[in-house]
Amino acid sequence: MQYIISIDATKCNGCRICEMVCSLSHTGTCWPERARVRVISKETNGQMNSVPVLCMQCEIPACRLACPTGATFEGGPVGARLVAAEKCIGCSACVWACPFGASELDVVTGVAHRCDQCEGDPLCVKHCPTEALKYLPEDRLAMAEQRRKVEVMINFQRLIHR
Amino acid sequence: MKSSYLYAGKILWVDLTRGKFWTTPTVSYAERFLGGRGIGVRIVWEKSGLPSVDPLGPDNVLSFNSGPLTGTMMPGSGRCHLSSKSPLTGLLGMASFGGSFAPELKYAGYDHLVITGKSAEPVYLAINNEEITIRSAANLWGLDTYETPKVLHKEINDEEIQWACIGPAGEKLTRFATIIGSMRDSAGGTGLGAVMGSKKLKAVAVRGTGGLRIADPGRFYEVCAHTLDSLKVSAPHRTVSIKRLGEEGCRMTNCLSCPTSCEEEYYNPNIRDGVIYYKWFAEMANKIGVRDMMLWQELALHINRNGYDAGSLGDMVVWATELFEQGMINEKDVGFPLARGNGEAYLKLAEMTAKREGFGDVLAEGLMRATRAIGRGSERYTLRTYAGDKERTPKRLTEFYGHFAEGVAGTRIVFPKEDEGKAEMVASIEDAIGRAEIVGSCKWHTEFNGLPVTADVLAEVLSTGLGKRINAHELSIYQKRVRQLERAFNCREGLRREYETLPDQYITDLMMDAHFEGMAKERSRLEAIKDDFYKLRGWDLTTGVPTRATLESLDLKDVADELEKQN
Repeated sequence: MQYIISIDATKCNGCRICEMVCSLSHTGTCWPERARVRVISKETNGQMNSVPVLCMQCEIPACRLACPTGATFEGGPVGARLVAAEKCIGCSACVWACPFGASELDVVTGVAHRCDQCEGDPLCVKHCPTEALKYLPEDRLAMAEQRRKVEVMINFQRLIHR
Repeated sequence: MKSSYLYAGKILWVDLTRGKFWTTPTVSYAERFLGGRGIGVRIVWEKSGLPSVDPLGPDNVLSFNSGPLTGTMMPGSGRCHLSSKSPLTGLLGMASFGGSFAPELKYAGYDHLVITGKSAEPVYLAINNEEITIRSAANLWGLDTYETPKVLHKEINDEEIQWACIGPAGEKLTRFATIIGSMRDSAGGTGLGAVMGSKKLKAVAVRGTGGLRIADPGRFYEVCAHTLDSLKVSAPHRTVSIKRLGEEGCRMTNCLSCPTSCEEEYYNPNIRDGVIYYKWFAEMANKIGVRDMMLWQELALHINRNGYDAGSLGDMVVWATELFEQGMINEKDVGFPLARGNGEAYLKLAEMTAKREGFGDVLAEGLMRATRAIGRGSERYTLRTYAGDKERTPKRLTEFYGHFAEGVAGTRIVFPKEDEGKAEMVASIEDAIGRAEIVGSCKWHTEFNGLPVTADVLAEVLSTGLGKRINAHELSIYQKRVRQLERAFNCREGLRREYETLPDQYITDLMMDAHFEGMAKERSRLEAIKDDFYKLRGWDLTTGVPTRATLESLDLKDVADELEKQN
């Protein structure tokens, strides 16, 4: 069963712990630029909104389709969209192709990298203090989203029928 | 790759007078002072320590400090510490703000950023890794702290920068102006925004794409993750009872790597774009007694946009109101009547202070200078000690350890009900805060606030990150050395025992309150507590200056020599 890391942007408070644990476990450094997950913050009306960006494990991965050398493949213990470093030529095609901006070239090696879900136990999910990141089986994701949105609707109706 | 673990390795010096910059290795300072507040204070001691240096002149330095743990996975490692000579007190000026500014500075390759000199024209500093430019701030000067970053992002053409800037209050040299960082947290105390304003430096924008090496990543991850988990269960800030205040949106915000969302951002579309952090403004509202929520929010937003300290302003307007009630100043002086709880008048007063118009010009000088300007015994109505304008509200006093009468940059001697053990308590609080700020962690996570980041935890994280064993005792030695240096700095500026006292109001009026029953009502009891504290710190009992023996035992012979020369 394919798992994916689901993102709840309303819960993210921009602490970037995910970037820290990711870079620490993958590169042995505290180096956000090399993390497979990035938190993008945008200020609106003076209020900071933060959203984590990482691989969505697409069924039809644009990164793989765009890759001219066949470096991108689905594999590893959890079937993540990985990059074979020896085949990657650092052309950025996957960076352009990814609809979510989840493909990135490593600033040190120049080779593309992507979330590998820590081989089944993603540390970003483990340490996310607000549960903005969750690790869910693909088929449960829709149901989880529906439940979340129904809760929003219930709250809303309570508000207007008060 | 950088040369050493955890540190970025360099100190960036910028001379605004000549428009030059250069770097020096951090390690020459780190041996004795470790980093963060320690190195920051040392730089200020060396560069702007002499009593002849004007805090608002070109010779004063302003240092943005980060510690070895800043920018790592250690929770609370996002804070930026600032040190300079304070224009408010004339002593050591220190404050800090949270966010990602200091980490970004480290990713760009600099542990410290030291600003010296004074530019002729308004400028801002743009740092992009190795590339450093001093650019004209003609477009930015006069803008508030919400407009400034918008223009900065546009001019630098990079959304990812982290910034620190001053508002119009800092430009106008308001002596309690703040420096605001990119998470909209401000370095509130001791008026460092005015130092930045005096240098005509509107903002600093940083972008860094580097990283920090860790000696033992596996073990480092483990101890950080453990700290993270222990903070998650014990952080008290997460419960916010005023979350649904009005219909505006609320968001919790964090510094880098921190699970403790201690800032709540509210956006009220009925007023203006902008955010109000309730933590400090609640304290201000308590003081000034404004009950109208909208007016209070408007006032808070005004303070945030203009960039000055809410606590100081609260004290100023309370003081002015009391003078008004006593008939010491009248409508002719102020321009309109003042009364406790009258938010409209206070808002007008705040606007006048930001623009330095009329009576606002008096207030913008800070309480000490304002009492001198008004004279006529007006200092009788302040709760001010020599260490700064900001005071705790009486209610806070009993809940929060009591009251400090002395301190570096606004930390205060504890004054709770029992005399016994007060000195030890103050010292332990100072030590806990000091240790956290030296290593670049968060002071609010330490044991004095009831949270689990103790000296042992800090030492453990440091050891695994640096790859050399540092135990809690060694860490405390660094902290004690820095504390003595801070005291030496203030003593070189003329601080003596007799200044360390409480204002009359504390001894007479406030002590009538039931909260304070049993507390020292006589100055002699305060003096006894001071004796205890000085003995604990190794300071001379008659003058309050660190003794040569104390300094030399902490490897500060040069400081002892310098003190002797100056006095």
